[in-house]
Amino acid sequence: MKRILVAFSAWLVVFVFALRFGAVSGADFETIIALRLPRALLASGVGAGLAVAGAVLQTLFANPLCEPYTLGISSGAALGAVLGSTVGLGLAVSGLAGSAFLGAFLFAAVLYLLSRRARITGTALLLSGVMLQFFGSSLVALWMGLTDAAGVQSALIWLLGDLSRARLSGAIFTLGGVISLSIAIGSRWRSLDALLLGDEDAASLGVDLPMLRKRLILLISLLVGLCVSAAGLIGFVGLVVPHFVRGFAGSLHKRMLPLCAIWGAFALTLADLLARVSARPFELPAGVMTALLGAPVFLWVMIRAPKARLTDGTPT
Amino acid sequence: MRGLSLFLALLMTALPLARAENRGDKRVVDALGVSVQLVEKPARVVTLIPSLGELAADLCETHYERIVGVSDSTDYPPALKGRSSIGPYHHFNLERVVALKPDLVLATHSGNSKDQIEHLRELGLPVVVVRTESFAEIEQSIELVGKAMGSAPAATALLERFRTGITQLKNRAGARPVANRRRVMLELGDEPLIVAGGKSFLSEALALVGATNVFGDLASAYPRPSTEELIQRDPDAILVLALGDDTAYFAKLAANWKQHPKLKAFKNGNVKILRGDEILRPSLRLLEGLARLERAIYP
Repeated sequence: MKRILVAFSAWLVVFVFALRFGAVSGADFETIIALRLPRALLASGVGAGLAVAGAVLQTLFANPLCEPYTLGISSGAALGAVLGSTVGLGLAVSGLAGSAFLGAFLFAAVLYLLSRRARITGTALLLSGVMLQFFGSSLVALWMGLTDAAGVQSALIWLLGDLSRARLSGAIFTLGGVISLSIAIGSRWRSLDALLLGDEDAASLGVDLPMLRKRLILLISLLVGLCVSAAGLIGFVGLVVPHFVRGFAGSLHKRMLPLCAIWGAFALTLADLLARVSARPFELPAGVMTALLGAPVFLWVMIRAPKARLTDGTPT
Repeated sequence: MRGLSLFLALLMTALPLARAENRGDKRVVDALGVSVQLVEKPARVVTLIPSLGELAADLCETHYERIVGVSDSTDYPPALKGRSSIGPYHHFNLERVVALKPDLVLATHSGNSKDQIEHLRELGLPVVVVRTESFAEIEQSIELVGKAMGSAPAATALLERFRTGITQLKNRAGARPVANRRRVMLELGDEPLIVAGGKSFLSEALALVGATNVFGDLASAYPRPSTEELIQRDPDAILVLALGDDTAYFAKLAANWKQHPKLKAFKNGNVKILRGDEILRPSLRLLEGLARLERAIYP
């Protein structure tokens, strides 16, 4: 509980700073409500969603390198966004790229159909995701090669992660969606904990593995699709925040997942704040900022740790 | 959980505050068919792309103070150089635009992001969008911006000059025998080669000065043909469009064609650099650009 309070206060401080500072100094109340608040809310929602998705994927595939984009859902979203913005069918509702969500959903559906085959193993599923990723990004490159520059530019900015399109209603929708999906995923904490022992032991503990995998893939796909269609491809948060949290809170999901969500929200809100103010008058892509900040911090934590506490999802 | 939903509910009630009201009773229908409510003579104009900065400045005559914000690399007329910038046209900064409290925002359909324009409209800012992808559309855009800025007489005069200039060019082009029509490639980028295609208004510009776009049959606006394709088509002239004041880079681009000495354009010394700003920015300076284009092709 104490850890949650610490994380929550850290997020709250960053959130207030995110409202206070922006591209112009001394903005009026209207600007703050209309532009900064949606943005800070969206950053919090997307950060939390990516961190939870990353943590669960790392457990599900017992692979520390898994992150929300490993399953290729993001490249489906990217494909949807690029097609949408060049054809002129952005299907944007309240700042959420509808075409990106459709793309993510399509790729997620393929993955889901694969996971329904009982014989397919975790590794095979992971590989299929990586294949989907390559397939999607090559289609994006193909489309960009064949079409005109108009529209591609905005799609490119979106691919680097762009929170500037945030609208209040869209941000609230994203935040709400992330919270409900995270609760749906987190409620399976017992099965997730069992998975830490390995597939066989989990099965012997009575976990219906194929079913769990299927359900989790569906939920995570929705979660990632939602985040990506709202903010583009923001890397790193989903990879690093779970490792960081495991470092002090252990690997048990009931304790770890809420902390992941809050620290994820903190990380992306902070990254976006810095992206907006650090290089004024320019605005950096939030996705660049997350990696720029995250990598050194992560390495520092790892060097400082007495033993290899940053585990690959096995209990400490 | 309950605290959170209370927080969200509070946010919802704050939402109407974000809606700024449009004052003024003039209505202008923009190129996208959106009816925009404006004051009679907007005094705080923000332009989201350099070409519209030029056009708006032309229509202000000398009252440049009406333009309070421009996009990056708006450098003409020089009086606009010090204006506060709202960032690059393809991804401008919403907060800066809002902070300038504009009573008119001018945008283009092809240059600015549709979502960002939509976002500005949701924030209650009066945005007028123009289309400038053909000469007919450029003429319409002059008229539309004139109406929006409450400078209709200035726009009419500008349009008159524009049309006269175009007619003169057309007459000169018509006087040249059809057999002498030059086949021209307009190069916009290197590695990969980017050229003007059939859908670009540059193709129309070439036709206007009595030349043919060697890639005019390609449907897209800025295609990337292979060098082999270019060698096969062998244009009479290759014009490298140079953007901005730094021509050294573009000189290098032109020099690259030395590698293909068999090209007709290279053999006859018809690989040239053409200042691109005038011709790529659809404002009155376009006439100047077209005259340069004509001179480069028919010295």
